[in-house]
Amino acid sequence: MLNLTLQQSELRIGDHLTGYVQWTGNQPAKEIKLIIQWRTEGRGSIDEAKLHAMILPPEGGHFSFQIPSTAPYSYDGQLIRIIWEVKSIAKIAGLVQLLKTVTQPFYVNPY
Amino acid sequence: MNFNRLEQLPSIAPLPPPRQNHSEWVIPGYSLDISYISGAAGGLLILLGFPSVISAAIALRKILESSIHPSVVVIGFLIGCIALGIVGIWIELQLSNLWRLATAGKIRLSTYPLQLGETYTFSCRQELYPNKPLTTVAQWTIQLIGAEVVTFGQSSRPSHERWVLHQETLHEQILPIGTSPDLVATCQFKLPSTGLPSFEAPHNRIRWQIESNLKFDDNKNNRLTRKSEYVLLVEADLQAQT
Repeated sequence: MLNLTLQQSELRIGDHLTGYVQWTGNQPAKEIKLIIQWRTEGRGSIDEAKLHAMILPPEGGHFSFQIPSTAPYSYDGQLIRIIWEVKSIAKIAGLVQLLKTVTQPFYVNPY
Repeated sequence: MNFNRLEQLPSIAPLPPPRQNHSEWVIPGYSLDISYISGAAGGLLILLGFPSVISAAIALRKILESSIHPSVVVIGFLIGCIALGIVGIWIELQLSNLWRLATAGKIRLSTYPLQLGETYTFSCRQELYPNKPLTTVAQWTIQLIGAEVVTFGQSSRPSHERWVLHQETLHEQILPIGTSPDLVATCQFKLPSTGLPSFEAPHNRIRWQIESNLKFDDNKNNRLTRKSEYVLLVEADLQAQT
């Protein structure tokens, strides 16, 4: 089981997003990757930007990331949605390599 | 007031790098350039139109002067050539009228980038081409537009749409015949503090822009429009964040 916990669900530009990832599966994880990104949804073709990627220990660990001043805000408009999310991918050790992925959205507030 | 509306766009204005000129920032305008289309079409029409008119007219005159009695079909064909040539030349004149209207202008601001919640004054300059006073009445409108702008579809033939979130007319002026070809207007606007800052991604944008529209009345009550767009970079209201 891959657990991803965010300490904050709403932030502003310059704030730190903190949280932790924990692997509690029967088989040990080989590594756990953490990605912090924004992506768009809606009428237009998809745009996305991975702003932070790190490798955590196999059992998991804490992370901290400062929302950069040049980053976009979360937005839910008529044609565009801008979604911020943290994605955690665990590679599970074994003969066949399995991937477990957990994604948690968060909100970057303009005000 | 509800400004929300969906529009199809023929093209997307690029986000131009502003130039700093002494104490002011100059933002160049973008205008969908149809001059090369109309120029090429007009050239082709002239190329085909004039020779067909002249050669058909000469042939017709020779036939009528000589004792040969041509068939109705031959005379009809030659008259058709003359008519087609005249129509071609007329279309070319209409097209050339369309593209000789105005070039994309520029706006000047004292500060840049802009900030939500702040008030700004800018001057907008639009030059008419050719550099002659107006020969028809025109209406000049300058608007502030805030919109979501998206691009989708095949990269070779992308489609563009925008959803207007904010629209405000900053300047409206009727330009009488004889107006100088160098148009200048000074406008003021306030960016709403609760608005959104600019967002620029390859296919998705939240944009603030100044739009200058020149609508010309031609002789047959058709209205020809030339739109220039000035994309602004707007940042968040820092005071609202503290």
